[in-house]
Formats: sequence, structure tokens, C-alpha cells
Amino acid sequence: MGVSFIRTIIIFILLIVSMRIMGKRQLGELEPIELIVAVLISNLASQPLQDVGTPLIYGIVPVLTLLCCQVLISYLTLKRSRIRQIICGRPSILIDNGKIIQSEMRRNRISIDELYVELRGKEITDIAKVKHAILETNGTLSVITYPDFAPLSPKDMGIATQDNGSPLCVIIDGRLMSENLLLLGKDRSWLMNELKKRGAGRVSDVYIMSVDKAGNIYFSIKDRKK
Amino acid sequence: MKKEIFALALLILIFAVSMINAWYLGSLADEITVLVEDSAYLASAGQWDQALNQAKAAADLWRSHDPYTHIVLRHSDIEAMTDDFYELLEHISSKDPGAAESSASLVAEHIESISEMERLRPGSIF
Repeated sequence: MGVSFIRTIIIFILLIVSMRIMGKRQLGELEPIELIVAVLISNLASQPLQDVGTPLIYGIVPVLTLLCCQVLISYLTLKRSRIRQIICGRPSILIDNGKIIQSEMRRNRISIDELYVELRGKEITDIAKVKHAILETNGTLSVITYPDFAPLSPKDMGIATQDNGSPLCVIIDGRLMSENLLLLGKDRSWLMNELKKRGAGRVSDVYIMSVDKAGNIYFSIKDRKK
Repeated sequence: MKKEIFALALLILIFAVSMINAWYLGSLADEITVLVEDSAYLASAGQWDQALNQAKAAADLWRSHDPYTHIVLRHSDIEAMTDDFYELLEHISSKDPGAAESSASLVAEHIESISEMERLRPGSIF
């Protein structure tokens, strides 16, 4: 038990160091600690499950130890930026003001091809459009284009917009969402009226119906069962 | 913050329980070793009845801890220990001094190695 406890902590620390050395590109979308805990826990939990001769405690102790370490380290990284830098690393600027920082590319072991793959994933085919490209601590690439190439927004065009809020579903698969109807300030008679207008006699005939604050309705009737 | 305090408390608790477990297993191993060594000494002196009693006492002590050992030890280790005890009892019953002595030292070594594995030492950790 004690040996499992200490071994878990040693392996946990070793994996954090390994992940940091391996670099951000190995991480996917998880922070190093999250990835380590996810990988280790699944392995640790499966061991006593597969071998009935291994007491459950050999799985419980390391899993709980990892969980506690993860909670504590997450708290420390939240409170102390220095600890966060040590454990999660720092974002790396791969393109700064349009200039590719080759030393950072080398440090993160990212080839120009891989950078292009990432940019294409963000629908950018011309690297000249990129002002900043930052490799985040979870391994994702954030891209900021030059203002000339940024997508136009209604504000840029001087067009006034109206915020209709997020539409709320009032009927899902024939079930009435009374709370959402209440939040929209509508009542059942209003709903029945709207249903009639769209050729539905009952709530159960509707597959989905959503309404936003401006009263715009999305409506889809249920398919008849064959 | 409550979650973090709970995590820290749980970590300390796991460590404390691990230490208590190592100590408890160590004292159980010591008790069994004393009884087994006694049995081997009595067997070498030709006092076979007393030797058998001491060996049985050691085996009973081991068996009485079944619920505990099945929770904290690998079942293969428990079975190997039980087999060693049967062998010791058999050799004492057949009044074979050499075999009884080697079986006794096997039991003592085995239990010592099981308890050693739970002690926090570089050898057991790495």
C-alpha cells in the first residue's frame, strides 16, 4: 500500500517531467496533468479488474493518490503562475508580427509542414496573412491574422444588429419544456396558437420548436411512424 | 477550496494508513517468524510434539488474518505462504529434522519478504 502510494507519486512526477520534455505537440487538447491522470487512471483501474488475484486496494490507492495530486496541483497552478509555468509550460509564439520564430519552431519540434497543416485547419492557406501564431500549453495553435485579412463583422460594416439572445427549446421530441416557455414570457395558449398556425394539433406532434427573445421560431414537425 | 482540503486530507490519510499497514504487517511477520523459528529449534531438539504445536500456532495466526491479508496482499503470495505452512507441518509430522528446518526457514523468509515489500525502502519502491 505504502509502496504503491510512493510509486504513484514518483511515476506521476516523472510523467509530468516527460510530458514537459516531449513538448506541447504531444498533448492534443489536454493540459499535461489532465493527460497523465487520464492515461494512468484508466491503466491502474484495469489492472485489478483483469486479475482477480490482485486486491482492489492496489487499484484504489494509486487512483485516489493521483486524483488528490491532480486536485492539489490544479489548485497550485491556479494560484501560482510560476508553478503553472513549471508544470504546464508557457505558450510559444511561433509567428510574431508575421515573422516565423524558427528557434521556437525548433524548440517545439514543429516543422513548417506541420505549421501549414495547423493553419489550413483554421482555413488559412497563406502564411502571410498571419500576424501571430501561438502554440498554447494544451498543444492547440491560436492564430491571429492581420486586420486586413480578418473576417468582416457587422460592426466593421456599420450595420446595426439586434441581440435576440440564444433560442430556447420549448418542445423537444413531443415534450413541452415548461420552464423555457416561462423564461420566454409565453404561455400555453400562445404555444397552442403557434402550433395550429403550423399545422400541428398537439405538442406531441412536434419534433423540435425553439423560440428566441425576438419571437423568431424554428419549428419541425415529427415524422409519421411507418 | 473545500475540494483541495479534502484532497490533501485524503492524501495524508492514505499515507498514514499505508504506514500503519506496513507496521501491522511487519509485526505480524515478526510474530510468525518467532513461532516458526521456535518450532524449528524444538524440531532440531527432537521435541516433535511441541514443534508441531508451535508450527500450528504460526499457521493459525496466519489463517486468522485471512480477511486482512486478502485485502492488502496479492492472492498468489497468500497461497504460496499457506503452501509453505502445509509443507512445514508435513515435515514436522514426518519427524524429518533437516526438511523441517529448511521448511521453517522458507516460511520465515517468505513472510519476511512479504512484509519487506510493504516497507518504504528504496529497494521496495524502485
